[in-house]
Amino acid sequence: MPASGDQSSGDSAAGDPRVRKLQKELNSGTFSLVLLALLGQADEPMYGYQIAKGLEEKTEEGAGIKHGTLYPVLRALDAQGLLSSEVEPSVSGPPRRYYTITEEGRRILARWLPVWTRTRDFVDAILAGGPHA
Amino acid sequence: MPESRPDTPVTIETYLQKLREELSGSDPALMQDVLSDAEDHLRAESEGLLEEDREAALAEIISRYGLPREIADAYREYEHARPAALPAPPPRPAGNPLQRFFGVIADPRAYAAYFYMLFSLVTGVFFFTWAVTGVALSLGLSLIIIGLPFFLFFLASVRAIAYVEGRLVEALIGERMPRRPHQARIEGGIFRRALHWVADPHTWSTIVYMFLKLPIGVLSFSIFINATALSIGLLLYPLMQLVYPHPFINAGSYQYWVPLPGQLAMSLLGFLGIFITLHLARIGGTILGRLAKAMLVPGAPVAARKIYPSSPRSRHGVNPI
Repeated sequence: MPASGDQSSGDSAAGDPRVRKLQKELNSGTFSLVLLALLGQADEPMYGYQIAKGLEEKTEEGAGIKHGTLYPVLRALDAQGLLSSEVEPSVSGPPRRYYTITEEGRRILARWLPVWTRTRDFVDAILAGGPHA
Repeated sequence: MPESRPDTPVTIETYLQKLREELSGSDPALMQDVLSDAEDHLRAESEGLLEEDREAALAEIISRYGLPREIADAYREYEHARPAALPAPPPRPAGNPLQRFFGVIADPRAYAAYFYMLFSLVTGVFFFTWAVTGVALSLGLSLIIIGLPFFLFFLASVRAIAYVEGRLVEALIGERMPRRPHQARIEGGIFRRALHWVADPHTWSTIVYMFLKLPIGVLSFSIFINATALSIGLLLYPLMQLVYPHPFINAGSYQYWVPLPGQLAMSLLGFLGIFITLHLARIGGTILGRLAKAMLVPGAPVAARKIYPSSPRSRHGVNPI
């Protein structure tokens, strides 16, 4: 059975349940930001599968993101008005829900970015172990 | 955290079945959403797979979608983080029945439920007309070739109606209803799907609901229009007597004029009537919401509410993501 994260890296750590758990926790903390940013950069509305593909293209393994876990986040962002969505029939298969970032979403994204930068720098500084920058 | 990794199911149906098992005990409306998202995604991604390597490719797609447990956990997490369809009601002073009684005037849900009760007549007329037309035409046309396409169209419209009514119920009453349409969950052509629809008890319970909606709508519309008219009429009675004096009873030569204390008592009754009407709207809304859920959501067990409460009140106070 192909498990997430251990297909291409060959890194045995990726198969470790504790490593996966950390990855899962980090993902759930950053999903909203990542999805908002991805849709903020998109030129046209995207549906779930395209978004999952878009994330995979950005990283080697899509940071082990399970496609199915994107949908509740997309729906939650939609419900909060940060994304808007509409269902369009597809040529074959079920109709698809296309997501677009809203003005409110862009405003929130702009406010989230410094928070992310600060968090990233903080974690990096701790991990580097050096004196304060 | 030790993680059990069950065998990846190899078909969309077996995967959805595992997902359903993983979600057993959850709100059926949530379950429908999870299954619908999964099916949409898996079908979209498995489009155009070649027959010879279909099984392996599908296993890969499903494993990338996530284990049933991971998916179920992700939805449960966000289910409680999601803001309610309506704003949270103002905190009510606990233990004070008087304040609770009058507090309803500031509760947006009471007005939403009131609107639902009135609007039920409109949806009731439409659902009933469409159900009668659909059933009659399907039976009548079944003898000729156009009957089958019409029947399929009618069944599809029944599913759409179940979904739309569900959205209305969640928006106005707050009962958790599916946010995705009920899927056919069957592989194969349009005929296999149609057969599945016909055999699906959900289709028929929705059609029964469409029939029931008219008497319910007539009843709820009449009750609430009359309650409103009566309350306002009583409330403004003394004022009306000042502007346009008119006897309370006027039978031939006999006339009865309500004395001023009586007029004030009537006005007070009307004032209370407005609050009672709003409370009735909330209670009626809750009952109709439960009915809609029982008839429009496949496999809606009442016990589910204990684990994932569907009442918006229970979600009050959770943080958005």
